[in-house]
Amino acid sequence: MKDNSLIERYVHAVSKKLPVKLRKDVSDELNSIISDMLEERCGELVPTDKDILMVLTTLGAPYELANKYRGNEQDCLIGEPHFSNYIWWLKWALGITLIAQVINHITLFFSEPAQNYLLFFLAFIPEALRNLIFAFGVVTLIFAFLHFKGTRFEDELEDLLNLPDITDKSGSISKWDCVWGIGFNIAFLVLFLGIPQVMNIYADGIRTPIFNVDVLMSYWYIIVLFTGLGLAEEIVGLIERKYSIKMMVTNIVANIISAGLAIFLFAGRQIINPDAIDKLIDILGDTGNTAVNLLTNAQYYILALILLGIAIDAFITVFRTLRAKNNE
Amino acid sequence: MDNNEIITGLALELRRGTLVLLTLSQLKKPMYGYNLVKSLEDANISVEANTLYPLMRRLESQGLLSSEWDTDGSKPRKYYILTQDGKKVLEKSEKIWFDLTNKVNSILEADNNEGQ
Repeated sequence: MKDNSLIERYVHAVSKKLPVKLRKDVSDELNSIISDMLEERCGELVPTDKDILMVLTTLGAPYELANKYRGNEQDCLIGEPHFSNYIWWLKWALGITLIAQVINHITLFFSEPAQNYLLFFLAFIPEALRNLIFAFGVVTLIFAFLHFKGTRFEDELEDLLNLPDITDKSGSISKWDCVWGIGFNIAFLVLFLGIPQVMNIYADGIRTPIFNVDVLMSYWYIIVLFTGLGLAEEIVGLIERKYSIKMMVTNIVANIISAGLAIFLFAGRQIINPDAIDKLIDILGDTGNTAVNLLTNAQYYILALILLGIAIDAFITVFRTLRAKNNE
Repeated sequence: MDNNEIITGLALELRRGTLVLLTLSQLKKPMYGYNLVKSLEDANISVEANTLYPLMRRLESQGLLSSEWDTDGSKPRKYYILTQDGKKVLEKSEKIWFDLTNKVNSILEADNNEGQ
């Protein structure tokens, strides 16, 4: 169901491909010319959808008109009308490659018993990455070629009839993202305070917990506070439903406090169980100093990852808020 | 490639080259885009709106045209007019055009006369 009129969707489709400072002016100018062209075509009569479609066809496909306004018709490797198709095919190609890789790895697991399970499963990552990069390269090359040659798959009229709705989703927050976030925070709380022993390393019939359960329990209030901040952020998102200044401030404050809590908990306290690290080094066997170094300092690497995650989250929120403000 | 295609391509190139000159020549007085499309159409020069509007914007960014929105009428319209720089460019371009067409015409006419 398309809620906006064809003209609105057309003007939006052109202007969204232009620099922000031009958008308003070009939109007004386009509305003005479309109105003039319809007036000439229909006179006093109310224009029908067919009239509108004819006028828009005269103006051409939105991406072509936008290219003319920008004055650079071949300024990217893959532009419209190929870009949307490119993204569609890319998602399929990457998805299929990943599934094929998983099936291949599972088959291998049953056909050739592994000497070391951990290494066997870790080997999945570089193999999958290599194949995903290959799939990405092939799809990108094909579409770059098609774009360079100007090959078309759909006709212009079909493009015009299928213009996307103009609802700007860039500044909105999905309800399901928030619900997922709340669920994740609750699961995190239950996992770390309720059943931390399930995160363990199983070898030689003995389960060794990865985290130091006693330390986790003695600092339970830090974990509750950490989760509470995440929950507060998701709840504000659920109420606001869009990237607003209030949302951005909540996110930044919550992230600063979360970073402080993470540093407090991880720096100076033995959160990771040293027995688990020893066991992992034993399992990995003779894999060199890098792995040993990585495991010995795992606590600091985990802290660095948490801080990086917090920084990325804050950056994305600030970026989306500013972009939403810009589009208003 | 058949001859018709070559002729169409040549005509397109010739028209494209004159479009800036024609646009500048019409904007000694303020006009909005569709007004200009119609005024050229009246002179049997058909220009597509999707070519003319971006062109006027480009000429504006080059400082040859200036624009202003008029919101007093029944609908808002953007009027374009030549700037001082635009007038100078038009004047010089007109000279180049007349000079070129005179030379081209004299060559073509001489060839035609020889052929008769």
